[in-house]
Parts: sequence; structure tokens; C-alpha cells
Amino acid sequence: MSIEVRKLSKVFADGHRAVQDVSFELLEGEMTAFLGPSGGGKTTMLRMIAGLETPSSGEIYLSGRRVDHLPPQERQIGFVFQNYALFKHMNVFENIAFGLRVQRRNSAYIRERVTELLRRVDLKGLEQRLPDQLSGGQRQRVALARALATEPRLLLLDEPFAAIDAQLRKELRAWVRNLQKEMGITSIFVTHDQQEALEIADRIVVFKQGQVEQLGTPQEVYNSPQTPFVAGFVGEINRYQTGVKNGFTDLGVLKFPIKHQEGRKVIVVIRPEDVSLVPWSAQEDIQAMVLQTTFLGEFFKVDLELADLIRITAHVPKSQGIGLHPKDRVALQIKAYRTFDSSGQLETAVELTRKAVQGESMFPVGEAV
Amino acid sequence: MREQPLFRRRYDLSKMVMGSVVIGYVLLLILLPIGQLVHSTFGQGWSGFQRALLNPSALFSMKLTITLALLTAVINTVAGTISAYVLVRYPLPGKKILNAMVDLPFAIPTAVSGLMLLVMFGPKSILGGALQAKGIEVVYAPPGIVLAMIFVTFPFVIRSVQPILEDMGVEMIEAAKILGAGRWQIFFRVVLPTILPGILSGFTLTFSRALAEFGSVVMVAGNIPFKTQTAAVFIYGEIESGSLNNAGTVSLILLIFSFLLLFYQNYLLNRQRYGWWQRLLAKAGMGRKEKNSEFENWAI
Ligand SMILES: Nc1ncnc2c1ncn2[C@@H]1O[C@H](COP(=O)(O)OP(=O)(O)OP(=O)(O)O)[C@@H](O)[C@H]1O
Ligand SMILES: [Mg+2]
Repeated sequence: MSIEVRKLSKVFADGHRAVQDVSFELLEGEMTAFLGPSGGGKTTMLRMIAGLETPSSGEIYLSGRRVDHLPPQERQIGFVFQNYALFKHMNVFENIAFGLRVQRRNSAYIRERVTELLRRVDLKGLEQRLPDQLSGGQRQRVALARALATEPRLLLLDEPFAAIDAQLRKELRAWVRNLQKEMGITSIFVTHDQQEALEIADRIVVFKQGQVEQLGTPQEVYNSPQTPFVAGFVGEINRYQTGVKNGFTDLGVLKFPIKHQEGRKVIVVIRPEDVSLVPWSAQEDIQAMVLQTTFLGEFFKVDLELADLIRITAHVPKSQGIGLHPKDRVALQIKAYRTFDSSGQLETAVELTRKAVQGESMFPVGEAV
Repeated sequence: MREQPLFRRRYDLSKMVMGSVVIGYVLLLILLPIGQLVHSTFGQGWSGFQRALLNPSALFSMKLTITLALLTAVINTVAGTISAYVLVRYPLPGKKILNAMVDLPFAIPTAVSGLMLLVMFGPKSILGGALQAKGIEVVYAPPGIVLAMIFVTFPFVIRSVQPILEDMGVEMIEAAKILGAGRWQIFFRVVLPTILPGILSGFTLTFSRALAEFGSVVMVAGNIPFKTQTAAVFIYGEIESGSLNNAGTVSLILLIFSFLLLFYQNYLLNRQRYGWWQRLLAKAGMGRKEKNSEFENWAI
């Protein structure tokens, strides 16, 4: 089921504007992540789509049909609550069967459907358990099975993996992703976790203070953030606030051409992985000194100091990072950067200043040559 | 545990003192009087007990009390559950005051409660007069007894259902809504089963309290044998006329009821809030286990 939201706003009774003028369209069969900081309005958005909260203004369409006046019972939506909200007095079987019993399906059908779902969520044999006799991950799966039982056309998941430990979390989200693809059900899930969003979403909607900052595929959001906020929230960045001088950013050695008016404030954003360390040779390379290296498993995080005391963080491959020590002098290349004007509007798109230098020629990077 | 004898002795002393206070209290105030009552009642043997029990006015008073107390419990369970629901779920103006007023029947001396009902429904009041004109007797009749019992026991169901409802929150209800359940389905499938333990517990409390009610009942309904004489009133009357045997017999019957209800209350209802019936079936024995609210030592 496709879903369209037009100019949706929610003002709570206390005057707080939790969602402001939000519009977007999501496609049939896709998995969308609502990503954003705490208090950004993600839950409120989800609850309005489900009908648990009445919008103050705006419209919601599911498959082209306007639904914002319909009660939640009539929207054919599945909802997995952050705290699961299982029926505490019902066992696992009855929890999953609830929606079907409400629909007055015959008991043979219910038995068959619940058994099928139990198999899918891998909970066979636990039918008779009460919710408080289950582990967090098991409860989560019961909540999911319960939401899926009535074959909803849209599945909403509010931070479904938040209360689960890292290992199980990874398994569960891969598993939910597979299930979602298999069933082809349009889904939205809320998360704080950019990694989670990048990993399993077809599209990401980034919320900030009740507004949509950006909507796009994980690659679009990561590679072409439209605001400094998105750049910083999805992935890591080096962020510089500076001015324009003679058509270039006024950042000492980090000199990038910029079309903006002279003297205006701009924000320059560089991802650590777009900073590469190269052998100390080429004239135009930027010289730097290593301050600190941190081993982060798959890569090294290297904090560097450039001329004019500007600092920058680079992510370098393990093989390279292992040979680096504080006070080492290196040269670096900026593979890509983005500039925004001070109101946060994108000023210059990603630019490849130079091809990445490949191979062992860039190693070792030792003392000054 | 520490092996320092000094500490051990201090704990032992406090254990002895506190233990004997509790045990002595129970013994002196509860067990001894009950034993004495049993002893006195059976002073004339089993046949005396039987005779007193089968005495028509005693039988009538017990039947009347149990019937009216049951009726009261049913009425207050329904009314109390609805009241609790409204108090928790609906944004009423002046809810705090209303909520505080629920406890009034506990605070007012029962004789005063009875008097209030008496002046309200007595033949001299407008309401009482109107009812009497239609041939409906309230005071000095069973309806008056029920009114008194209802008034005195009103808070029980509300106060046992209310916390469960508050604790329940709205998530389960929202989940049910999204799954398509309408208002009544939500009530019967979700809300009612959740608060049922509270309702049953309130019912038991109401019933046992109504069984025992004396002050307000005697005010409103007087002491008319075979009409308004409840068990408690009967006991009082028999004592006044010096018939300890009859009084003791009916008292013992009331006591047995109380014990049964108490047992039911403690061992069936309070064991677990949710799913107590399933757990009860699953549980084999009930060994003494330390609760996490208990101290390991008697360290205060
Ligand atoms: N019932 C309410 N009344 C008033 N304000 C509310 C209400 N519910 C939420 N808010 C406010 O609306 C804002 C958005 O809340 P919401 O729960 O949608 O955020 P969220 O993005 O889901 O955050 P989180 O990631 O922490 O769950 C918050 O500032 C919150 O305080
Ligand atoms: Mg939230």
C-alpha cells in the first residue's frame, strides 16, 4: 500500500508543535526508516498514520484513499509498539489470534493462521506462555506476529529493536527485513540508529524537530545530504564553519572553491572516510601531523592537525593505520566535501577533488621525508 | 552472613522481641478470643450448637444477611467497577475531589451513615414519603439494609480496581484498537480480564464487610425478627437477652464465612495479578520462599 502525507501537523494540547507541515510519499512494498533525534516527532508521525493521534491539520492517504478521519480500527494497519504492548493476560497463541478473533474468523482458520505465524517468527512450542514468561526478543516476535496476523496493508514499527541487546538486534532486523521482503508489505520503522536505517531501509526519512530534513534512499541520504544536520546524523563528519574569501573557503589549507558571495558564512562538511592519507610527495597535498590514532575494529580513526591548527579526523584502513603514531607527519587528500550556506542550504554538491590513491604506494607514511 | 558473635546476638535479640510482639499480638487479640468463643459456644456440646443453629430466627437472620450481603456485593461490584473506570479514564472536571470523596464511607462512623439514610428515607422526608405513598418500604425493611450495606462498602471495589486500571495504561487498549477491536470488544476482551482480579477481590471484601455490618443497619432497619434482623443484630439481641449460646453459634458461622473469604482472598486472588489461574494450575507446591522485601536478618 502506498502512503502519502500532505502538510501534516500536530500541535499538542500544551501548544507543543511535535510535527510541522510534513509532506512525503512512500511507495508500495518498500521499507522506510524514520530516522531522527529524540523528540523529533517520529512516534507522533507514526501514531497519526495509525490513527492513534488526530492530526491538527493535513491529510493522510493510504493507496490514494484519504484515511485521516477514519478510526484506527478501519485502517488495516499493523503496529508494533516500542514496548510491545502485548496483552498480559493472554498467552502467546491468544495474543497472536486477537485480531482474528475480533474479525470472528472460524477457529480452524485461526488455528492454522496462528500456527503458520508461530512458525514464521520461530516461536513454536511457546504458545501457552504468558508474555512475562518470555524474553525481550521473544516478546518482540510475538508483537510482530500479532501485527501480521490480520494481513495488514501497512506495517508500522516504533523502535522495534530498541530494547534488545546488540547481537540479537542484528539478527532480528535482518530477519524482519527478510520477512518484510518475502511478504511484500509496505513498512515504516522508527529508529534512532543510523546504522540500522542504512542497513535495512529502502528509503530514509530524516526528521528534525517535527520537520522532514531529507527523504531519500540510504545512498542518497549518506552521499548527498541536503543539510549539515543530515550529514552529521547519518554518518560522521568533520564540520567547519567559515567564511568566503576570494571565491574560496577561508579555511587555511582546506581551500575549496565556492560560488557564494564574498564574506558570507558557510559550513564545510567532510566525511572522515573521504580524507585519505597519501605519501608525502605531491606539492598540492595538504600536510598534516598525527595527533592520535584509535583502533575501531574495521578501520582506524586518525585525528590530525593541519597547518593553522585546524583539526580533521580521517578513517583509514587497518593496514595503513597500524603504522601511524602520534607526531607522524603525513599528507592528505580530500576526496569529497560539501559546503552549505549558514542557513543550512546546500551550496556546493559533492566534488571529487582527486581520484583516490590506491595500492601500497601510499604506505608507509613515515616521518617527514 | 557475618560470623561476628556481637552482631549475631543483637540480631537475635531484636528477632526475639519483634517476633514475640507480632506473635503475641495475634495470639492475644485474635486467636485467644476466637478460641474462647468456640469454647463457650460448645459449652453445651454439639447438640446445643445444633439447636441454636436451627433456631428459626437465627436461621432467618443468617439467610437474610447472606442474601442481602450478596446482593450488595453484586451491586457495588458493578457500580464500583464503572466508577473506577470513569475515575481513571475520563477527564472529568473536579475528578480529584470526587476521588477523595470515595473514601468518605470509611471515614464516617457507621451509626452516622445509618442515621443519614434514616433521615433521608424516613417517612418524614420528602423522598421517604413519596416512596411510602407508592407502597415501597425502605426504612425498617430489607431495602434499607441493602442501602446501608451499599453505602458502607462502596469504596472497596473502586479502591481495588482503580490501581490496576491506572497501572494498565493505554497501550494494550491502543494495540487492541489497531487490531480492529471496537469499544465493547476492548472492554470484554482486554480491560475486563485485566482488572478481573481486582473486581473479584473487591467483591470479596464488600461481601465480608456487608456480612458484618451492624451500626448502620440497626439504625436504618431496626431489629425486627423475621423481617430486618440481620445476623450481627441477632447476635447483639441474644447477648442482651443473655443467650450466649445462640449468639456464639451465629458468630461462629459468620467467623467461618470470614475465614473462607479471607483464604480465598489471600491464596487465590493475591497470588498473581495476571494469569493467576494458569499459574495456580501449573504450580505444584507452595513452599515458603523468601520475598525480596524481606530482610535476611532482622536488622530493622
Ligand atoms: N501527548 C503529548 N503532549 C504533549 N507533547 C507531546 C505529547 N507526545 C509527544 N509530545 C512531544 O512531541 C515531541 C515529539 O515527540 P515524539 O514522541 O513524536 O518524538 P520521537 O521522535 O518519537 O522521539 P523518541 O525518538 O525519543 O521516541 C516531543 O517534544 C514530545 O515531548
Ligand atoms: Mg518515539
